[in-house]
This record gives sequence, structure tokens and C-alpha cells, in this order.
Amino acid sequence: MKAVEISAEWSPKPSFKLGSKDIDGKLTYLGSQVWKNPVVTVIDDKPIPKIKPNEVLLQVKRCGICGSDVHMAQSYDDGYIYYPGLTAFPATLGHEFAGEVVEVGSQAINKRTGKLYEKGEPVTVEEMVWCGECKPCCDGFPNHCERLQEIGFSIDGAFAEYIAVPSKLCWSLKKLEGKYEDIYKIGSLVEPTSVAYNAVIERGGGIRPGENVVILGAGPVGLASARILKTAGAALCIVSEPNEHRAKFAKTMGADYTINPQKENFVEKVKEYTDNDGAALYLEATGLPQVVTEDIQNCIWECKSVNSTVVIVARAEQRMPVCGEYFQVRRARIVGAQA
Amino acid sequence: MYGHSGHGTFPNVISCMAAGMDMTPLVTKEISLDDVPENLKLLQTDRENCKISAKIN
Repeated sequence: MKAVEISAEWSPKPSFKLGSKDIDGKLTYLGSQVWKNPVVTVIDDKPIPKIKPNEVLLQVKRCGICGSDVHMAQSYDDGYIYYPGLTAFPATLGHEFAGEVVEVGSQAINKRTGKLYEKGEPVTVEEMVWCGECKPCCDGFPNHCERLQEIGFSIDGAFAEYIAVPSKLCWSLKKLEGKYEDIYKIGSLVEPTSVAYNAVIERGGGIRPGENVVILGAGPVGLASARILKTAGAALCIVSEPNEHRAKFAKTMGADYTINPQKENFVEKVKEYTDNDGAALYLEATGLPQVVTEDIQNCIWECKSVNSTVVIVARAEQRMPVCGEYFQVRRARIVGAQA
Repeated sequence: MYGHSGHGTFPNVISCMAAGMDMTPLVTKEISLDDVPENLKLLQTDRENCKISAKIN
């Protein structure tokens, strides 16, 4: 079958120490410290994977490109890849996908029916392969699994004609049938939308209908968050984005107002649009904490809303220059959400 | 590193979509598997596209 595979050289930086869960020459939790000179190729003769009893074989219908795919394949001048996380190469890329069940293992249960999967079921798949047996899994924190694998990062992903996946990671798309022209197209957006949902609802605690939200950065996660928060009843959704094309796009996804922070005064605009109320939730989706933190905390300080939540979903090496006093006085909080 | 398993997140997102939360405008370009490598390069600099989606099978 056809598949898009990434390979790179295992060449640890002098400062790199093999972690307890790393495997020398194969797997690391710190990709950008180890992998050099990435190459992405389309191969034609990859064998169709064989399923285990707890797995289903999917014929992949759709798979989206994520920023982390771009960053695995992108390298700095010294040859090391951008992507800092869990990786094991070579691997087939692709983790935002949907497909049709074409083979069913003897123990592959469909959560929709409580019975074995049947051929033809449309599904999307979680990207994190959690074990269900380690302490974090059993404590209810599968995202912090001690034996984690990630589809399209450390094991083969879905830029391929077929993929074998554990049935416990699959979610049926049946209820989208008849509602969308192509359920696999929207089905492949469930994973990135879940990143946004996890950030603003699960981690950020959501909002009460009638509250305002401010989203900084109109990439896919920022845009999906706008749509989710409008669905959750946000009175005003304000998106801050310097790229005009993306700002316009934010309006399509539910933004009531957009701010160009390079041309306009962010704090004054938020005050103007919200009649000085400010927002219940601020989402940092830019990856530029050294730039946007000052604006966010000045809003919290100068607007009327207390109890604001700042959700950090973008990855960044830079630190946030936080004024604790503003958060102390305004009863505000900062929470992190894995992206 | 992703963190969105559990807590009802995936099924709730699917239910929201079934109830009309249409995310498909996020897809700005549709490609084939063969086009994935060049589009990974394109997205290093391109800010006009949002989600590029490969149609497979």
C-alpha cells in the first residue's frame, strides 16, 4: 500500500541524556534533541498491517496535516527537527484521520453498540495510544500514560491507505451520517477540534452563556475554539490575529470581532467591544507568550470581569512574564492544556 | 504531545458536529497522498491555508 513516511538520523546532541522511557536509536520523548536531517517520502510497497485481536483495520478516507507534522519534517540550520516531543522514526505520518472499518479483531468492541465492530462502520481515532494499565491511566489520566505511544509520531500513522488501530481508541461517526456531505472530511477534524475542546472546556472549565471570550491566534486550534465557545453560548468572541486572511476567516468560524494586534491597541479594543467587561476566558494560541502575556494581563487588570481564566494551549520555549499581583487581585488563574 | 483522550471529549465533539457545529470550513485545500510531502513544506511558510486535508481511497 501507499504511505507517507518520515525518517531521520538518530544523532543525539551532546547535552542529551537518554530518558528512562527512551529507547536508544529508536524512540525519544525529546525529538528536537535527537533527530537530524528529516526526509519525507511516499512509498508504494508498505505491507498492509495485520490486526491484533483488540484492533480494527481501517481503510483511511481522510487525513489532515497538523502543525506538528510540519514541525517533524522541518529542521533548524543545524539539521535538528523542530518538533520537541515523543517520536520514533521511521514512521508513517498522520494522526488527524477518519476511515471505514474493513477488518475486525475478535475482541474489537464498538463503544456505540457494545458489541464487536462491524465492517463498514465509519470512525475517527484518538491519537494517543494509552495502555489502560499504568498508574496514571488507572487514575483516570490516560493522556499521561507511562507507556504512551502516539499514532503518526512514534508508531505508524494514517497518511496511508490502511491503518490498524486498537478499537478502544475508535469513535463511531454514525451520527454524522445524513448531516454532512462527506462524513470523513468532518470526521478527520474531530481530533484537532478535540484539542480545542480539551483546552477551553475540559481544562479552561468552559464558560457560562453570556460571558465573553478572547482568543489570541487564529490557527486551527484558535479557530476551532472560537466555534466551540460560540456553541457554548459566548456572548462575544473576540479573536486577535495579525494575518488579515486568517482574521477574516475567524469571522466565518464565529468571531464577533477581530483585532489586529500589530495595528490596533489590543487592550483598548477589548474594552471597547466588551463595554469594559473584558472576558471570562482568554486563550493563548499564538506560541508567543513573551508578546501576548502583557496584553492579556492588562485586560484582566483594566476590565471589570473577575475570575478570568487564561488557558495556554500553544507550545513555546519562552517564559510568560506574569504579574502575580494582577492575578491575585482579580481572582484570575492560568491553566495549561496539552496541545 | 497531545492530551485529549478521556473525559468525554471525542464523543462530545462528534455530538456537537451532529448538532450543527460545522468545522469543515477549516479545510482550505484538498490534496492526494502523493501531495503530502510538498504540502508539509508549503505549510512551513504559508499562512493563508488553514487545514490541508488529504483525500485517500
